Amino acid sequence: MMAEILFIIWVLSQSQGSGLASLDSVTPAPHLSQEPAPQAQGDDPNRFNPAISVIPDVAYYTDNRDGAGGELVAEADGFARHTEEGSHAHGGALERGFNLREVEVALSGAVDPYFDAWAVLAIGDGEVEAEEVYVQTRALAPGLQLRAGKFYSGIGYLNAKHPHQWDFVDRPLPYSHLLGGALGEVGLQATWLPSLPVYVLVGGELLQGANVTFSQPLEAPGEQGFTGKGGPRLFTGFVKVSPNLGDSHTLQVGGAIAHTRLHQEFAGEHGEEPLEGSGTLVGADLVYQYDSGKQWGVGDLTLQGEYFRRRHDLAVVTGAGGPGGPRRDRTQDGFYVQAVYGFAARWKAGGRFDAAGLTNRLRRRDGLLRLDSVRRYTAALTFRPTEFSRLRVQYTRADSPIGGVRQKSNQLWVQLQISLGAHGAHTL
Amino acid sequence: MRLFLPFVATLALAVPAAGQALDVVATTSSMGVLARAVGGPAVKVTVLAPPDRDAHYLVARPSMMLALRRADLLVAVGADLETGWLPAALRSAGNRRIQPGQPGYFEGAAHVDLLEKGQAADRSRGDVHPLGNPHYYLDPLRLSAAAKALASHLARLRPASATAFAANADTFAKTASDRVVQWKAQAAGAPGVLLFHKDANYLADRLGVPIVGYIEPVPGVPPTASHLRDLVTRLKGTRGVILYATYQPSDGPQHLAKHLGWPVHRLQLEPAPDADLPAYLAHVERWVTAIASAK
Repeated sequence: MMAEILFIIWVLSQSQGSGLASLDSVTPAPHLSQEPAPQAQGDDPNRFNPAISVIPDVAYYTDNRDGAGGELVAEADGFARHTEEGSHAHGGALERGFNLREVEVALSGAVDPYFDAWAVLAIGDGEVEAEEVYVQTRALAPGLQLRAGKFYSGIGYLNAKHPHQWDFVDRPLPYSHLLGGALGEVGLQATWLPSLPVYVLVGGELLQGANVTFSQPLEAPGEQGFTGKGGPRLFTGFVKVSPNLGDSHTLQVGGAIAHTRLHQEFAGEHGEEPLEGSGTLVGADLVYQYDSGKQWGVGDLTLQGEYFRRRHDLAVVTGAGGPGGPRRDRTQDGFYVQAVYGFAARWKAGGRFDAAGLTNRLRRRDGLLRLDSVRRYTAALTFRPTEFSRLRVQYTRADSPIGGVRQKSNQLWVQLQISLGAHGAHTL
Repeated sequence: MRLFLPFVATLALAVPAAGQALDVVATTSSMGVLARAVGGPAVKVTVLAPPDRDAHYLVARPSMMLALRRADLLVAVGADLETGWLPAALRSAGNRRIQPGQPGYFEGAAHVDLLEKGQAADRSRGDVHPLGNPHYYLDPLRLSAAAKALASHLARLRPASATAFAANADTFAKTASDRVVQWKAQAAGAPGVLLFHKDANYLADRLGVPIVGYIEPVPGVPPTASHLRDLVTRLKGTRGVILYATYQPSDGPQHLAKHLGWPVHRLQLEPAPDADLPAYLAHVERWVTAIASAK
């Protein structure tokens, strides 16, 4: 939170062109109280503005289920969510036809000799959401970095990636179904890159814990007898290892764990059961990239896969007594594997298989249930005229269990993403 | 904030002992040549970009971050050439000493006279570089200017060797300018070069040979049939040579060579990663010979 406030002060100081480049000088500089001081020769008040990029994401969407294709996948048995008693959660579903999915506005820059700052604002659905707003140390000690603010967790490979960095229109099922999209939280992160012959990055995070499907504190907990627990409630640890395989091959293997002290939700057929408890998520990820060395991505290949397994130890909340009722533990998992190949200059073809609920074990009022899994087969074709624009066509065949009945759907997207402004980073 | 000050003070002192070679990371092989030629035995050089790849489009790989993590000095081309990957790799490396503005950060472009400086920052004209064309490293004289600047930069990190660095930079300049005199004679009267991308401009400029066109319609966009047709129409009946780098696709250049009847040469844009000054000059000479081949 502190970091966000500091960041906002910084942004304001930049936009007013007051030249307050340092957070230490928030007290007005003497000349500000007098006549406006003449700018230094040819001084441009915008010179200290952060690097800005604006990334609109527009998509045409249709399916063969009267627009319910997305919902059928989201509400697969064992994964349907209730935001409050009796109501279902619908999130991120597209309307048939044209959709402005979001406009991402990314700002970044050096705050002072000690910090870099980022802000990624997502504008969509008439709302502005601070997707990420954080400061990061510019090297505190060799290889050590601290990050504070709101940010995407370092767990997994795709977790911290923004939509314009994905190879498909949507996030794979382990993310959408086990993390409600991605783990983006307010908190602190520390990463350390020790000086070893092989790249090993270790990191840990203290997070507030407000993830809808994994670490959710319900509002007004007292009314339902839920326990109120202050943060940080969510803790993560991760490691990424990348052996040096020469100029053409890059391999990165990662492992992660996240533990939450508190998760609260309404479960049951109609969301009638208030549940509370703790949860643990473990994950493994692998990415391999082959760089052919040819121009415009010809012959480049990326293979990647991730697996997440989540366990919630919950119990029914009984009146004011907290979670003292019967146990309602559950174990669920999900994975995806995908391949993307540059088959011609500026063209990429990708295939993905993802599933959630291969283990889909839930203890409910009527006993221990073993539910079926949701599976999808996806193909995507991407054309990148330059680094700054991208057109994509994606087809998905989904097969999802709803009330024990397998529901199949076909979904089609045509997506346009552009990047206006600062040059983006090419990262693994 | 005050908490960090002791850290910073400690780091400022964390310069390697005098006897130990400085760990220098060069972004490209040409920058590696520069570091080796000026630093001599006082440096140990690692090159990040493979010489057969386009240094615009690299990905910030973990192995780069690891190399940057332990570097005492970073020698970069600059002028936005590495903008897609170097800032990202630097951020992840967590090495304060080689951040821009620190004594451990050196950027050649800041010390040479760049061509095409001040172009409009308008991407409808392709992948433009408003700071100037970053491919100055094929011009030995501009690299000599960078060598001089690097010598004074290295002197700050290793004051005891300052005289040796300055002498090495002088040798660099002397050797390079002698060769350039020979090359100018060799290329005198060469009718012109057709390049794939704006990458050999500095060498052509140095030799006084005109550039008659580019195979890319605008920087960063692959050749289209209509652009190739236009080039043939415009250049038919004139003389010249077609030059392209190893990572650039051959079909456009070969098509033009056939229709124009010009010689065509596919050359590596960067020398080998372990190249020293003689190897670099031999590398540039291959380009000079190719440019002169249309005479």
